[in-house]
Amino acid sequence: MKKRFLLGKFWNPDDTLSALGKLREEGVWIHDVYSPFPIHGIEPYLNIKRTRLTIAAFIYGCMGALTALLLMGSIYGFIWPMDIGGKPSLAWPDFVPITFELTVLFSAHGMVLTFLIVGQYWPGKKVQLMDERQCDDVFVVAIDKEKIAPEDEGRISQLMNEHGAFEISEKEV
Amino acid sequence: MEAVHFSPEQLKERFTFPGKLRNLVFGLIGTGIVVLILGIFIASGTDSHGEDTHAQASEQVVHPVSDTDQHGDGHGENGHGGHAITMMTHLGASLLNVSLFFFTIAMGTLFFLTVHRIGNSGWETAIRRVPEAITTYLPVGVVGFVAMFVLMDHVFEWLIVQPGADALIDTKRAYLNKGFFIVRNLVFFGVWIGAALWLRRLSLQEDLKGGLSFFNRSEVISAVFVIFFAISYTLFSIDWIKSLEPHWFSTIFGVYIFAGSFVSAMVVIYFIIVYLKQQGYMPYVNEAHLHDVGKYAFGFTVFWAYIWVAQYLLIWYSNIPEEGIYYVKRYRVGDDAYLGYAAFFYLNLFLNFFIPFFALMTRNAKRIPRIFIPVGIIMLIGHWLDLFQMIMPGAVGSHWAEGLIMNLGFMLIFGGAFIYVVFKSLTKANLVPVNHPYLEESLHHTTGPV
Repeated sequence: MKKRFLLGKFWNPDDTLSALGKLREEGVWIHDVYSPFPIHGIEPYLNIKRTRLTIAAFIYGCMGALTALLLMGSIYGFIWPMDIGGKPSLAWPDFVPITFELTVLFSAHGMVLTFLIVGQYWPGKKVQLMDERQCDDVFVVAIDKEKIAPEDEGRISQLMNEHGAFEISEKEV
Repeated sequence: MEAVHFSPEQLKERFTFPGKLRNLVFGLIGTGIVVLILGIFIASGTDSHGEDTHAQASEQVVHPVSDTDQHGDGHGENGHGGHAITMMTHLGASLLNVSLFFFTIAMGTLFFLTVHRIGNSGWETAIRRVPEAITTYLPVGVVGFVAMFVLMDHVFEWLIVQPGADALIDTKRAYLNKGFFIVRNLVFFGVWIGAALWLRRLSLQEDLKGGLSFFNRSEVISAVFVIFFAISYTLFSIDWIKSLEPHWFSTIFGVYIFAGSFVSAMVVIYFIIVYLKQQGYMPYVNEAHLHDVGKYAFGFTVFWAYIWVAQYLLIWYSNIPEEGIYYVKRYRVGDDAYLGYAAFFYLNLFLNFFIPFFALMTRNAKRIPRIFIPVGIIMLIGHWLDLFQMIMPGAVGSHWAEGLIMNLGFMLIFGGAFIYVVFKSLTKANLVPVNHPYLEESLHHTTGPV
């Protein structure tokens, strides 16, 4: 589903931040900001929802721990008990390192994969940029046109201009 | 982001010692002394044949030498191999337990300060005065160890066993003898306290004069200190705790003690910040600072558990009698000589790892003091129990219950002294290093989006 965006383009992060501050005061909903590098202190303006990645990580971690324990428990305990150095084959201390490692492995890889899937970064994906220069030296503030009244558009554009936007444009993405 | 501005008056604000806190301190110390005397009285009563008070060694509550003697060399691997446990033993063991509890916390904060200085970290600048104030407890905490120099004759097996009686201890006497023990520990205390006071002095002078020279000098001191700390803290922990069971080996022991002390240091720093904020001080310390201290506490519980398992696993695998006996004492159920330690062994893991690990996992648990503080209290109790179950089997065997009241008494006295010294030091300077080069960074500290 395509959406139309009102784009304000800036040459530097300071102008971007001051424009964002003004827009926020006006109650304008910011869709997103695209920048060549992470801008420190931009988070409060971006309406970022609490990430659920941590919950996913916890679940993956539990899966990893369970996998390790079931695998080792079933193999050493029942399927193929082995005598290593006279130790009982089903004992917890030697399970600890592997359980730990699989917990870390599952949660790390699970998180990366989830991130790629949720962020829609799969191979062959066509990149859709608001402005090609956002990969180089331009900071783009995107405002969803559905979330602003048509009569406000001029005022918002002017406001961004006043705070250093060198170009205002629209794009359907 | 919203601009954060604090007036110079706000930054130069000083803590005044509240009357309530003073009453609490005197209450704690007063109660502690009463409880301690009561404890001594009770423990003396349980010394079975108490008629001869002059020769403690003749008062007989003797360790049964149990079947845990895996050596088969007849020395009795079990505790003191049958030496008498007197009131003085209990007194010394309890004093050692409590001294270590508070001293390791203060050492943890000193390490926190120095390692952040070397790492050129900025976020902790706003809370820096809190760990600095905690390090001023070090010279006071040493009193406990100096008292231990007198009491150690009743506690340490290698001092109780006569030369020639135990071949394994005899081979270690070149290192484990009282003179060298006292000298090297005095050197450690001297260097640590010297470094702590020097760093604090530089920090306070920076408040008055400004400039980068104090910062640069403290960086050099910190770097040298951390190297010395790594070696001396290992030897310190071996001397005061591991040598209670002189047959035992564990090469990771110093790291284990360090992990425990860093965790509890973070908890104490968190508590003091929350207290100060509750009293209306430190408006510039935000949730992000608390979050980071909380992250340390959370992360280092995992580190503690990691080291715990590392020590346990290697001993379990190799199954060498000298090493394995340590755990046999602590978790063998139904062994009269070490009655009750199995419960502490498992409780220790729950208090220091399982409870804090799951309770502090979420972001809010570290940011909201209402959630963190109960967990932090559990972790501090865990740190005490950790030391307790390290010290007691070697020092008093199965008679741990008799020293508990004295332990509580020392806990109250040292706790009162700790609170007094730390908050007294907080009153002596601004609550924030106003001329610190990283102050501005710290005032704008955030831990990012939710």
